[in-house]
Amino acid sequence: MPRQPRHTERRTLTEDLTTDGSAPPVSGSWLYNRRDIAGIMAVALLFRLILSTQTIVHQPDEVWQYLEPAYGLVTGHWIMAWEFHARIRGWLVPMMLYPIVALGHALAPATQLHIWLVRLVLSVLSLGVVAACYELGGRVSRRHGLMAGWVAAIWVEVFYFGPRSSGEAIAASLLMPAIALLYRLRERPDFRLAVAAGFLLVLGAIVRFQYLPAIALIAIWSAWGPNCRKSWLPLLLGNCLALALGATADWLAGQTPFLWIYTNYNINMGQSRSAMFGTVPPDWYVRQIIATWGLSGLIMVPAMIIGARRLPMLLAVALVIIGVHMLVPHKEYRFVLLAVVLLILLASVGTVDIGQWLGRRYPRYRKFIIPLLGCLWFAMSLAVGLCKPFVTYWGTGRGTMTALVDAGQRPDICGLGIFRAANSPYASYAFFNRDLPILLFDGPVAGAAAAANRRRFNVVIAARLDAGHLPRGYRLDHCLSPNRPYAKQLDCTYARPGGCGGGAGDFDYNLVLTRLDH
Amino acid sequence: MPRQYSAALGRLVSALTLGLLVSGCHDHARVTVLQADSRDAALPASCGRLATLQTALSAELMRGGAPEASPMGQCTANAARNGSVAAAMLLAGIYGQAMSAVEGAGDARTIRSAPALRLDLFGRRIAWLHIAAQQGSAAAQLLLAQETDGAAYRDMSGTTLAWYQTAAENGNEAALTAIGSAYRKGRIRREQLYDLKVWLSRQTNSGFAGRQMLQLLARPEGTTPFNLPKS
Repeated sequence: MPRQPRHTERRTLTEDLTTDGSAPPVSGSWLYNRRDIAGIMAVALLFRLILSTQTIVHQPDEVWQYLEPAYGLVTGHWIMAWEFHARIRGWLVPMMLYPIVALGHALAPATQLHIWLVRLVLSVLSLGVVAACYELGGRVSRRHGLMAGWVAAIWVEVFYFGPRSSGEAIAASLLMPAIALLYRLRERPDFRLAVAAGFLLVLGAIVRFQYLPAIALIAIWSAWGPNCRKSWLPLLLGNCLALALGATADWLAGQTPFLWIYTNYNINMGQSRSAMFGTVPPDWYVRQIIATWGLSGLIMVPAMIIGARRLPMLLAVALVIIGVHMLVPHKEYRFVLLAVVLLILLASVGTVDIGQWLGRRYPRYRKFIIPLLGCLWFAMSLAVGLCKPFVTYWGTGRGTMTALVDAGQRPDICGLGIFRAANSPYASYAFFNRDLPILLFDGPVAGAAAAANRRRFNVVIAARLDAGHLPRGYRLDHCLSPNRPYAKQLDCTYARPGGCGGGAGDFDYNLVLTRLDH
Repeated sequence: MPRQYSAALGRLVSALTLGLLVSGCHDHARVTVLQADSRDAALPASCGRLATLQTALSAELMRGGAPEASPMGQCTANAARNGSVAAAMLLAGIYGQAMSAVEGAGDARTIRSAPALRLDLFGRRIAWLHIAAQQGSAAAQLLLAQETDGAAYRDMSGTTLAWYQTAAENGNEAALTAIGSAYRKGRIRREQLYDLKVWLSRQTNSGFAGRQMLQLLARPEGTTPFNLPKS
């Protein structure tokens, strides 16, 4: 097929409108011209808002690496995980979350508004992924763009991570629009767009520096574009602005700007610290993606390959992300979120190609094929969300955080004990939301230690099976999911009447956490 | 990728970043042991004799004071922080003895009034064991794994498994047996043992427990293993 000039490729968005018999392009506001994507954005926002009302902590990093330090900046008390002692985390995200947490805390200090606001803002930020998918798919045709936007709006893996305060989710929300802008800049240089692209690209790199090889690839690719020279300076300007923001955040937190990237790499890879959190085989990501997609993969993988013919660079970026992460022994699905989003985007583009082929083959059903494909994507998303392994994500962390919130809302509490927590860290001041001592009792003599220090606290969170080891006088207040077997009831609240004295002493949560190297 | 290789790769890239030249492609655990051997020093004579130290520091703990706060304890703690496995193990042992004493005492009132329980015995023991384990002591690594191994009805944490595995790679067969036992009980998934399997398959003499472990991992997941020595 002869190669078309680039300007015609760009025009396909409007060409589609007329050739498909839809309404002709109307000049006017951006929203009016894109009223169909506005509808998709509304659906995307709805899904994300519904999810943000749920207490889900997919991974501890969401709380202890980002939310908790932000809460600490506002209130002065927070649980400091080992990453901050070792100075392997940057302060950009906590500093970005700071004004949101501060606003929530100022408006309703006794509630969880600060957390809801964070989820709300991140939900809105994640709409950038939907817009970027629409834009990237739209490079092929308007139909492709709409399908890509629709899939990004309703696909469970994409919207599930939308309100999450994790580095990967925030980086995806920043990098997807950056990639879309870079695609556009290759064709039409624009000063403001180039600054924005450079800014988002480096901001995403700071938030998730493990994506750097993939970011470098897309940056090099965009630099080879026909109009690249006009975009270099504004891109660099955007880069510098983001770097300045990241450096300022580190500097304000009392850290040498960006030294944490080297320290992080040195500790996690050089000293194999990340491997201490568990290791799995190199092909785990591939197996996990296939397991997550399940039978939907039978449609998605061929569609992805077809879609990759349209946007090959996106496949390359996704493969680089997965390949780099395969080298790291400690693996978590969320680490390759950006790659998963890109693969889903390619699959959505590919399904439109399949649909158009079917339309040519069965012209009678042409009108119904694309809407049916949209419904098929929704059904597949539903199936993925309701099947293992994804179905287990829905309640993750709910028990722990709800127990902490409940404890913090007790008017009689004067000190909180955490007894043999299943995970460390467990306590979070951001959820507890009280300026009261939190103590940690762990190990085989936890019962004796809690008994000897019983005056320091009057509420304990413990597993149901540990009830017999608690000091005398404690009564079960409530257990989350009381109908489950005792061994599964890990977040039960026990309380005793009376006050407290003596502070946390040697059992201060932060002190014990440091000793346990968590 | 096996942990050993990624660690070596990480070290190499880190060194290049700093403009230093790092040569060699050693097994991570092995390197750690060699470093420990060269760095480990006996307890400094200035701290006192071992028996005297043990008695004095234990007495301090029984009075409710932190052993590390006494002059002798400060000396021992500094030695431990400077790489003395013996010093770190001594301090960990003192806290361990106190924990055993608490566990052995039957009378709840006596336990509650024990001054030592004003201190976080468990956390302090773990902290010193951690220092010794980082110096490459297989005994400390095994103890650390055993101490942090939570209730039998819960999955084994990645950190605990990693310490068991490091101890096993440093030649501790008991650690390997403990991993096998936890695997049989379903507390560890097979994919978590990928690194261990790779490491074991490369050993010319992996020992009895190692051979049993390899046999166990060769079976399909979910089948009932039968002949692994129980821990």
